[in-house]
Amino acid sequence: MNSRLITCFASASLVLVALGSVVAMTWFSAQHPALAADTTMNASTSPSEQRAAAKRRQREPLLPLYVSECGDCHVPYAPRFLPASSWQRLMTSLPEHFGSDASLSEPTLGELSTYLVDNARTPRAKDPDPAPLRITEMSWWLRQHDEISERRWNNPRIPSRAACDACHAKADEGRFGHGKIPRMPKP
Amino acid sequence: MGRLSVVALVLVVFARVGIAADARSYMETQLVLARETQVAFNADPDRGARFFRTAQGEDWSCSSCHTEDPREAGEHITTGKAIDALSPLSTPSRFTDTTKTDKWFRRNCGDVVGRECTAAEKADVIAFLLQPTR
Repeated sequence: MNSRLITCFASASLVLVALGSVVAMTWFSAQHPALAADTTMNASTSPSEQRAAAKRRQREPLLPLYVSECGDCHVPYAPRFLPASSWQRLMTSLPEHFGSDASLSEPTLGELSTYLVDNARTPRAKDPDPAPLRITEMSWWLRQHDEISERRWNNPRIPSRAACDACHAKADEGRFGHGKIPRMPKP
Repeated sequence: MGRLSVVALVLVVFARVGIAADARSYMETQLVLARETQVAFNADPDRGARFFRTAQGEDWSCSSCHTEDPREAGEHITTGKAIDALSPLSTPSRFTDTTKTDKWFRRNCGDVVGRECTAAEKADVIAFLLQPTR
């Protein structure tokens, strides 16, 4: 009798847990279609397929509203450069955006936040927590640029490390191949 | 030949007036607002120029990014991003979209003045931007 009660209780809780996770997963994928698609893909596809998918995402054009709203002041940095948590922090602090007022109207803010979060960098285990707000503090960025000497950064044709387009000609379209460092102007 | 050049001149003049019309109508709206508190207010391009070129309490002035001469192209002071000339006389699309104009006044006044600009300040600045010389 007692053991039957325990079995009954155990199976009931198992069913509850299973139901709960189904509900949670459905809710999560409804909230973040891109993120959810990524996690399932990572589990079931080979590394080469993952790379191909990442390439496809790189070629996707940036959202025009994102380019027009954010690209007036800086390169419209590709959403895949930062994890969702970075974008969330950035988009909730736009009135104080790196020392400048970059506030947006409520509908624009909502639309752009969704776009950035849905297309954000797939979270990696090694990513620092909390995620940095500056792309130039991301370890992938530092690794990709570690061969560039300070002298070359001081080239007046590179206004700042934030000016991706100084070396990456298609940065404004969200496309980055190998950069071409501009020649130092003659003194 | 004389007649043709007169027609061309008239066309050019009309095009110019058309270009500046949006900026002018934005300025008119600001003037109406400004006169709610200062009945005799009139836009003054010189006052606008001083406001534009000098710091208004914060680190930057309008000219930090837009240069002292608003008919010239500028550059964002921190990111280095190119900015088309602010004057509608150089960049015809300026002030044609009121939502965009409002957005940029709101943001940039926050950076330069530390608050929203008054209607009077906006009218002065636009009067300055519409000046063909200097």
